Amino acid sequence: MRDLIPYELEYLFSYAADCDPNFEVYDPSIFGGFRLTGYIVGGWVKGDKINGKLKPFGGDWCHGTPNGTQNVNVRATIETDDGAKIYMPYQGRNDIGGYEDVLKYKKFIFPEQVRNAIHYQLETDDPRYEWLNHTFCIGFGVAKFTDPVVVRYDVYAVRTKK
Amino acid sequence: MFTQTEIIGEVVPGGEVTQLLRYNGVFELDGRITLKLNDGTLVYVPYTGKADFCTVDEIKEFAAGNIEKGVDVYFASPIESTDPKLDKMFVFAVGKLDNAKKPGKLMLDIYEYECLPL
Repeated sequence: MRDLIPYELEYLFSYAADCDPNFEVYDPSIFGGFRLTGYIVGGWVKGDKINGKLKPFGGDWCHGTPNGTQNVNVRATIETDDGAKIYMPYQGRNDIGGYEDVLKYKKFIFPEQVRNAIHYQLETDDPRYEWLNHTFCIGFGVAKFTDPVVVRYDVYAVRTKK
Repeated sequence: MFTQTEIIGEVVPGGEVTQLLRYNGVFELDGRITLKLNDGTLVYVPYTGKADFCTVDEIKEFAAGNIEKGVDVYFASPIESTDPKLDKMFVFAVGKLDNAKKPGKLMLDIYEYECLPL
C-alpha cells in the first residue's frame, strides 16, 4: 500500500445562521422520507479569513431518507465587512437515527441536535477573495432544535502539503 | 484497485468524471464511480469537487495541447451503499491526477468525517 497523500486543514471562518422558526416538514412521495425546508433570516460570520454577515435570504432544502440519513442542501450568501459578496452553496449529511426517527421528524419531534459534515462550493467575483474560487472547503456544524433554532458551523480549506 | 485498513476492493469499470475548466484555471469536478468490495458490498460514490490546475494565461496553451501536467484533486461525496454503515457516510477525498490532458492514473485517499457533539 502506498503512503497517504499528506494534506492539511486551514481554518477559514465560522458562521451562525438565524432561522425563521416556521420551517416546514412534509412528505413528498418520491423518496419515502421527508423534506425539511428552513429559511435563513440573517446571521454572523467571523474568522481568520472572512468576517461579515449572512444575507437574509436562502435556506436549507434538506431531505431525510428512510434509513435516517438527512442530506443537507443549503444556499446562502455572505456579505463581508469590506463589501464583498460570497455565494455559499453547500451540501452535507447527518445521521438522525433510524426510520422511527424519520417518523418523528414528520411529527415535528426533533432530537436535541444534529451534527453535520459539509462540503462548500464558495464563489465570489471580488478579486480580494479570488482565492476562495480556487479552494476546496469542508466544514462541521451543529443544528440545535432550541428556541430559537441555533445553527453553527466552522469552515476549513483542504490543501495537500507541498 | 484500492486498499485501506478497513475497506478493500476495486473500482468498477464504467464510471465517469467530468472536468469543466473554468476561466480562472480551476477544474470543477463532477463524477460517478462505483466501488465493489471484496465481500460483494457495492459503494456508489457520486462526487463534486475542485482541482486548481493552471493560471488564466495557461488555459489557451492547455486547450492547444501544449501543457501536460498533473493536478491535486479534492472532492466530497454523500456515498450510498448496500452496507448500512457506509450508506450513512459523508466523505471527502484528497487525490493526485497524473496528467490532466491525458489522464492515466488517479490516486485518491477517501476520508469519512463527522462533527463531534457540542
